[in-house]
Amino acid sequence: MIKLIWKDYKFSRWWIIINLSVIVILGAVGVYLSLYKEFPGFIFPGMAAVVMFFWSFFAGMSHYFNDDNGNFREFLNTLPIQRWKILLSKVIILSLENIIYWFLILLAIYFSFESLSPASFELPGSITLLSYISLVLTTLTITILSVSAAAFMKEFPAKYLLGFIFVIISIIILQFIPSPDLKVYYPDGKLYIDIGYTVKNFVVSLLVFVIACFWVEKRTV
Amino acid sequence: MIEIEGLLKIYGRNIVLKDLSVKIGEGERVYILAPNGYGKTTFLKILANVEPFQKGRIRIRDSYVPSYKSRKYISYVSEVDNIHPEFRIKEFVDFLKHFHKFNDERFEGFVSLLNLDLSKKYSHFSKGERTLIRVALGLALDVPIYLIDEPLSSLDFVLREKVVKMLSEVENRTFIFTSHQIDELEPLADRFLFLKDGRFAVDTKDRGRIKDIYRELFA
Repeated sequence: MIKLIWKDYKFSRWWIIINLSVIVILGAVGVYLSLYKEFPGFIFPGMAAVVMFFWSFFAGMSHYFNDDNGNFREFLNTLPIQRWKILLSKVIILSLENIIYWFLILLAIYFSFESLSPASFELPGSITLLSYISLVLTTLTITILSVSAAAFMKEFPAKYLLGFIFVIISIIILQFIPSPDLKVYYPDGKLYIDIGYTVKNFVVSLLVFVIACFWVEKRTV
Repeated sequence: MIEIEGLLKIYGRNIVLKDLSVKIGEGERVYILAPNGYGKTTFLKILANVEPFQKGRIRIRDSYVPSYKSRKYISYVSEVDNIHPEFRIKEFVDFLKHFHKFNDERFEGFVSLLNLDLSKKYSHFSKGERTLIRVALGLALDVPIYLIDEPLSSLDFVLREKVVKMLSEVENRTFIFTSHQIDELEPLADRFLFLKDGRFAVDTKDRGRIKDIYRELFA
C-alpha cells in the first residue's frame, strides 16, 4: 500500500508543486489587493473554495481514469494487487494534497485579509479550527465521491459526464439524510457553526467509497 | 493448467472471441497465430486480467479469471508501452519486487545481454529498447505463466535474436505468445493455435505445416 501511495506521489509531484505555486501566487495577489481594496478580501475565500471544490472533483476522477498516463493502468491490472488498494491509495494521496492546499489557503486568508482574519473577529480558536475542518471535510467528501464515481463509471461511455452527474446526484441525496446536531456557538451565543452536516456527508461518502471498493474488487477488471 | 470454456468477448457490435475453448497444459509453449485484428491481443489481455469478457469460464490452476489469485500466476508483456515513463528501471524493479517474486539472477543476465543502463528513465530509451526492457522485466518475474504479446515488433534482427535468446532461457514454464515473425519464434513453440472467427480453428504440433495452414486459413 505504501508503495502504491509512493507511486502516486512520484507521478503527481509536479502537479502538487504547480498547484502549490498557484496557491502561493493567488495568496500573494490576495495580499496585494487587500492592501487597497476590501472587495477582493471578501471574494477571495469564496473563490478559493470554488477552486478547491472543482479541483477535488476533477482530480478525483482523472486520477483514477488516467491512472498515470493511461497505459500504466494495464500494467497495474496485471499485478497481484487488490483493486481496492489502488482505489484507496488514490484517495489517500488526494486527501493529503487537499489538506495541504487548504492549509495554505487558510494561511493566506489569515495573514492577508484583516477583515476576514479570525483574529479580527476575536473568535475562539475552536471556531476557527471547526471552520477549517468543515471546509476540509467538504472537499474530501467531493474527492472520495469522485474517486468512487470514477470506479463505478470506468467502463461507461461519457464517463466524466456520468461521474459528474453521479457526484451531483449524491450531493442532492445527501441533503435528505438527517445530520447529527454538532453545533458550536459563537461567543455571542446566537450565531453558531454546524459541523454535523459536513461530518454526515463525509461519513456517507466513506460508505459510498466502501461500496466502490467492493465493486472494483468484484467487477471483472 | 489453463482451462478456457465458451469464452465470449464483444467490443460494441464486433464479436471478437466466440465460444472459444482450449486447454493448455503445464510447461507448454503455445504460439497463437492469426492476422491483425483477429483477437490475439484481446485473448492475452483477457487471460492477464486486463480485459473483461462477457461469457465463459477461465481457470488458471486453482483460480478463476478475473481474480487476485490468478494474477499471481501471470506475467504479461504488453505490445504497448505500459510502464510509466517517469520510472527509472531500477525503481521499477523495486516496485515490481513488492508484488511478485523476482528472479534477480535472470534479470541481471538479461541486463548484461541487452547492455541496459538501469539508472535511466523509461522515457529516455528508444522504442526498440523499451520493447526489450518490457520483455526482460516480464521474464524476470518468477511466475508459472508468461503471456507475451508481439515481443519482436519494432526490433532489428540483432535485437530480435536477443529476445529469442531471452525467451529460450526461461525453461519449464508455460508460454503463450503472439507474433508475426513466424520463422524466429516457431522453434520456441511446441504447439500452434490458429485463431479464426473468434475461436481456435486449428490446433497443431506439426511445425512443418504452419505456413501452409496459415495460407489456407487466411490467404
